[in-house]
Amino acid sequence: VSLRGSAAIVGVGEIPPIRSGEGLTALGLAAQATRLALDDAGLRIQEVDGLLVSASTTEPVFVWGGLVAEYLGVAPHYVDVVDLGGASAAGMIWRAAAAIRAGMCHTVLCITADVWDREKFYADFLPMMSLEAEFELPYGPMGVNTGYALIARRHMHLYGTTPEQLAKVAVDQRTNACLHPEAMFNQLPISIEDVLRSPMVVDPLHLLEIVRPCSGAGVVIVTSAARAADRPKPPVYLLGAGEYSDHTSIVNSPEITVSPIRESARLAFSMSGLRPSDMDLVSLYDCYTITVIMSLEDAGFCAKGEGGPFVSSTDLTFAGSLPCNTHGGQLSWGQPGLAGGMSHITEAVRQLRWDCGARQVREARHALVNGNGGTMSDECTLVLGRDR
Amino acid sequence: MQRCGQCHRLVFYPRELCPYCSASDLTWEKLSGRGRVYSFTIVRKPSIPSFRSLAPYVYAIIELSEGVRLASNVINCLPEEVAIDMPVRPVFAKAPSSRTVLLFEPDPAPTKKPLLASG
Repeated sequence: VSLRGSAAIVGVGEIPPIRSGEGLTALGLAAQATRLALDDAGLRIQEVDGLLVSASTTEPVFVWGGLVAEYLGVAPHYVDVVDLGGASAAGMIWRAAAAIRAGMCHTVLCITADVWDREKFYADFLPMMSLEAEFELPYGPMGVNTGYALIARRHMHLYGTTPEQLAKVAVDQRTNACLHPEAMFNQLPISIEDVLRSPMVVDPLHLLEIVRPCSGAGVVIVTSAARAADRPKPPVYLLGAGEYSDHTSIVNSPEITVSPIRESARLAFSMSGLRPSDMDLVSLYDCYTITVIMSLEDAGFCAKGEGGPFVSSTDLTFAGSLPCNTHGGQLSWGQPGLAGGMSHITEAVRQLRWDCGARQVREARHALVNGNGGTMSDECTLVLGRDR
Repeated sequence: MQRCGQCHRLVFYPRELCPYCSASDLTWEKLSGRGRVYSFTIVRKPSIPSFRSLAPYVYAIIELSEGVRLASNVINCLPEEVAIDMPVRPVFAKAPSSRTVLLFEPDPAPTKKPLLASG
């Protein structure tokens, strides 16, 4: 039994990045994005019988899934909280497909919504990671930033990856963002020099290589391939999925320059019967520039250690040979907390619907999506396709 | 540090069960404390208020000579002097939280006058 082609995304809804969290709740943003997703799918809430929701950094509520279901008026046959950090959104898609395939439900709302509150994040949310609080916080890490800086530093040491190569990722994604009306940073293109001249925050990562947290929400609706056929928008099929984790804290990773994507992407490609060269675009979780380089290596788009030269010599814009994060990525589009990972799915869906206007990848048929949680800890890779 | 009585691997952080073979007979033993910098970063704008007066400081993963890795700070040298594979040795110090923590300094000690300890 494979999930290949068994389910499809038939609706997407998004509340684009909002700079402040003032006066917002994750519950309220979730509801607004759900309304948009239902309209997009041409469905009524009564036609939904499953609900998955990601955690929120500011509303850690007991029985959060049930509360969201009640708030929205969903009476679910399947409800759960998917708590994989930035991989939560991708993790929801195959869980929804698996539940549908198993006959537990037929139409699942996959909801991510979060509100950025800097004070709450550092004072309340991060210390909830109890082991890190005991064994790492006494040494003064800078939130999640330090973990990725440690990866980048060792990647540079082992493979000669340069600051210019890392910066290229941010530059190409900004070019993409400039064609996205809802991206947070869509006014001015940037150059490699601009990235390297931005303040050094955690060596070797500069400010323009680090996501800007914000508030927002993204919702997609997954239903069976049979039910997907008569929806108003072209269905986008789940062709492959794989998930893997081998550590939580980067300190406990077997080798910090090799991520679990190596395994999650292998599984996703294997289920789909497709290869990296079959992908028309990639939508890779990009909390930092190094994340994209590691993802490309570990998913098999280039050899281990060659990610730096690869991104330097490859046009990653929507018009290039390997379009990557055509919405700008979270680096330029914004990172709405634990909802950020959904932006990589909504963008891939719009690309495969040929609905992206000026930044459309021509005749895009296959997309690779990667969700990355923690410090390259929880990885979920999806292959999505326009055809079944 | 803990060592597993069944598979004999070192276990860090301390646990009830060995994460490699699930055995429960973990015993404590003393290590050399020496190791090398596995990777590091320089924190310039700490997010934890009590660390702000210490910046810039080195946050690092140390690989002990016995093969186990842990998070720590490298002190008693300029942040710019730290490099991957640099040999380090242990020093104990009070953290801003007033807990005693295990930090590391270059091994052998730098010839320059020691700087203010971070952590």
